Amino acid sequence: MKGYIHKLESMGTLDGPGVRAVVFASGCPLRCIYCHNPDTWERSGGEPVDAKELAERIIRLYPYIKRGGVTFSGGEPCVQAEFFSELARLLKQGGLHIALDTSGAILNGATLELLGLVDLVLLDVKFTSEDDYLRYTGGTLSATLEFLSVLEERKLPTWIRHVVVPGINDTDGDIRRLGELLSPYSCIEKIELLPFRKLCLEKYGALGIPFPLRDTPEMNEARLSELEKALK
Amino acid sequence: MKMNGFTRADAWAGFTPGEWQRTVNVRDFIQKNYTPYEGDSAFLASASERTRRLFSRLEELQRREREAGGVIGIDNETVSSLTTYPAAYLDREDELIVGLQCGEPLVRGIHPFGGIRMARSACRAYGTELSAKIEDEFKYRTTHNDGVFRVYTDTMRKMRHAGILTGLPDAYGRGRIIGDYRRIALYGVDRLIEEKRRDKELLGSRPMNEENIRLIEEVFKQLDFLEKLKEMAKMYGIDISGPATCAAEAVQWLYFGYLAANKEQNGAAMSLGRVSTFLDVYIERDIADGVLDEEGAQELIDQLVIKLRMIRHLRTPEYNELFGGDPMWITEAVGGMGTDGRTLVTKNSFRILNTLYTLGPSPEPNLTVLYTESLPEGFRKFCARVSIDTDSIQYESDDLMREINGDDYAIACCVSAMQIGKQMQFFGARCNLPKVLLMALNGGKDEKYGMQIGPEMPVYEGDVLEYGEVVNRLDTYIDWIAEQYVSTMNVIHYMHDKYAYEKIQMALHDTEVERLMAFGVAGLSVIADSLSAIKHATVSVIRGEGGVITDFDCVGEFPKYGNDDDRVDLIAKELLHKFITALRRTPTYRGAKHTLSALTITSNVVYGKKTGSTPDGRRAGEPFAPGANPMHGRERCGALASLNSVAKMDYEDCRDGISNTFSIVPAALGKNDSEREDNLVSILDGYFAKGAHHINVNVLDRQRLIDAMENPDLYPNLTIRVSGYAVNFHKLSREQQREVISRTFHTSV
Repeated sequence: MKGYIHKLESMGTLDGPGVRAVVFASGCPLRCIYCHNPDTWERSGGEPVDAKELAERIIRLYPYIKRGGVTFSGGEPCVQAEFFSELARLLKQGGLHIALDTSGAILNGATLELLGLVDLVLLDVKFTSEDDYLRYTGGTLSATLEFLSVLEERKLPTWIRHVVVPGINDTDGDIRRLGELLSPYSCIEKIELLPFRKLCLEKYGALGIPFPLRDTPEMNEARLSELEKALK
Repeated sequence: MKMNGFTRADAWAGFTPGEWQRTVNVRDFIQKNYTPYEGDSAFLASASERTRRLFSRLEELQRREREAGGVIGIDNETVSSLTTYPAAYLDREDELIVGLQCGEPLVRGIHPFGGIRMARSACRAYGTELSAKIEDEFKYRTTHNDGVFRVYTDTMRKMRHAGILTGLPDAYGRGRIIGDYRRIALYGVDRLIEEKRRDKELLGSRPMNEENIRLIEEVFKQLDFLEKLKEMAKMYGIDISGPATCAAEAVQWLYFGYLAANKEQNGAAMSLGRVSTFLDVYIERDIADGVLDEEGAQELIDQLVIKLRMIRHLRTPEYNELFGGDPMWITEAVGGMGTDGRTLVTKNSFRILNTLYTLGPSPEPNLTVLYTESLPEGFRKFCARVSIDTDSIQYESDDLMREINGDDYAIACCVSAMQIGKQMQFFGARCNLPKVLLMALNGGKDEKYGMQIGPEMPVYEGDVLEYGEVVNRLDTYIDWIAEQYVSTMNVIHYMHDKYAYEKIQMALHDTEVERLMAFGVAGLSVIADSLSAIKHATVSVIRGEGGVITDFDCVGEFPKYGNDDDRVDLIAKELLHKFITALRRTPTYRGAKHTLSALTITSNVVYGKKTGSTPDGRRAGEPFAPGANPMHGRERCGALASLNSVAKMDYEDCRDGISNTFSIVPAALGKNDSEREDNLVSILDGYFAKGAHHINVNVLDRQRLIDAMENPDLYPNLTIRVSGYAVNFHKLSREQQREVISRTFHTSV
């Protein structure tokens, strides 16, 4: 089966536990204001690859990633859930740990099947209100929470990821609300606060797309540590 | 010897007896007596008060050396040898291990036997002259350098001048010979003399052919220098005729051997060998007898390492341009597994790595971990932490090398494995492969100088390079250069044996040694990408004066080495195979075994400078990537894909080593220290499981190097791995610094 990927990064250490290969899918239904991968928005912008061939490329990395695994990221991998299900099945044969990095925006039969094949979900919970979701991502909070409740039902280990942007969601109150919102879910093993960065400026420039947060400062690390404490 | 005043009446008391008592067999002694250590680093002690005082004296001298432009002083009156300088000290009170190269610390000696020209111009470069006395003496002597140039053919001179063969050891000590310095500690010098006398007698009963006569004379020289070695120690009031009786003596005896080697030879690489686990046996015995504690054990190793960090040789600016950073390659191999499955890691393996904390990061000694996934986890994690903190160590595949060499081998220079005391090497620098490709296209003409060097053929006629024809031409010229290269090496090593034989180092070998002749290649990734471009894209030629091809125009995409893409990686692999096969067709001096390396050290900058534009899009004069590294900025699939490409090169073809230098920013390795350690262990485990041979690991930000380039005073100890060794960043030339900064730093995505 063919899928569209932006790239296979042979080594990632920030998307799930251990050393991991990361497959960046092309195509995403959201347009988050701080998105750092604008080059993955359009599915048609990706490279068409065969699941089997991609699995072979990943399995060549097995000795390095056997204690880590593989992460499906993007873009939004659930846009191509059938393709990633096939890929996951092939990788499972090699005994690899699989993480799905998703916004939770797409929940359908194909996604449910994919969820049955992954070992860990990295779920972005981007904002804590419907207003902010709509304004800054084009998606909805309710869809994300519905996705989370499926993970809860299936007891699927979940790491929540949340980008903190100065002036948008960086107050103690913002983070407290996030904590409250997530507290009922026992599938959540970890909440990672990620600092807003502007390393993507060059990409936006190359694509000729204006970066909406061009003038927003990067997130301060010390402030982020404070917020992490507030979460606990 | 009075150290802590402790000695034993019976030097071998408490050791498990064995074959090692009857014959010189250090391996057997280690195997019967060492204690493998499977734990973590928690037991380590910090530097003693005494070590700290001593080390601050050295730091002060190093600061003065930096301020003086790199050389604190030259003794231009004395020819360096074992007994030509009086005993000298860094600080008599605080020094546990004694012995300096010259009459004063960090002063450099004169070694004219390799070549007086080099000694002369090095003196001049640092504002002095060789004394009239030495000049006079050497009017009537032939040096190695003189001998070589008496025999070099016109073609050999041209190849050298054009930089097709570069870095040849024809003007100084060839180095890469590792004396088994442990023998002095275990047996004492008298026993070694006795054994050599017996060997000499036996050789006398053989037919007196040229080979035998040469060897007998060599053994005579070895015996002479073993006597001088005892004399040298006596100048320090120490009698090393008998075996060492305690750990402190074992360290001192062994160091005297290493010191003597450096007084006699200014070899390009002067490895220490594999001493830490050997010394651990002595340390464990002293600890068990209650005469040494952990702090004392660390103190001995620290003090040894202080001495090693003081070794210096006088080099010319041209040499430094090639091998930046004043390197000595005091390579110590650490860790590894035994053939019986026990680990050779001991507590002392940790202690020697710990010197990078007790004494701070440093390029020397060149600490080389013999790595395999089977090493105890505590040790692998400690190594990863040391890499992350200090960027000062390198890793080499114990599995590949143990299979071939057994478990008592060490590393000469950067990546050359040899069995200690049983094998020696004829070092042969390297051949510039991209230049061979350009010469093949130009029918034997050099693309930069236009002169005819190789066999004459018409210049490539078409406008677009056709893969099959290019490969045919390349094969012809590879065969030709391989023959020339072996011949050149034969001349060099014949003359080195004749005029600058390594008497004390060879005295610490078996009399009948196996010889390796180590050839090398530079520009592997450049030639592989060039051939890939010719095969997969459209490369047109651009001609200069007289129709010589001087540039290329490449249209279209092509697979690039460093992305785990077999379409190009196998071209690189196949080239190495072709080259060693071609080399093997020409017999070597003294029946040495042909080996090959992909290692450039820092010379990739100079090689690049001497090479015209190449079909891969590299411009004339631009540096090559070092060793077997992919070209900078061409890796598109991340760190592991890049490692996989290098891992495909076959060690069978490249027994002298395949060097890869890997730089990664800390943030890309994980979110915190413990994750970074675990992840680096995973990367190393994976890389070596893939069959790779060598990796230098740097964990640092590019920005830090840029800052260090602008403000060297703020980073006096910033150490980075380059290719097979480490350097103080500030000792590199601006050009080398820029090249290091331009390399790929793997970042997070």
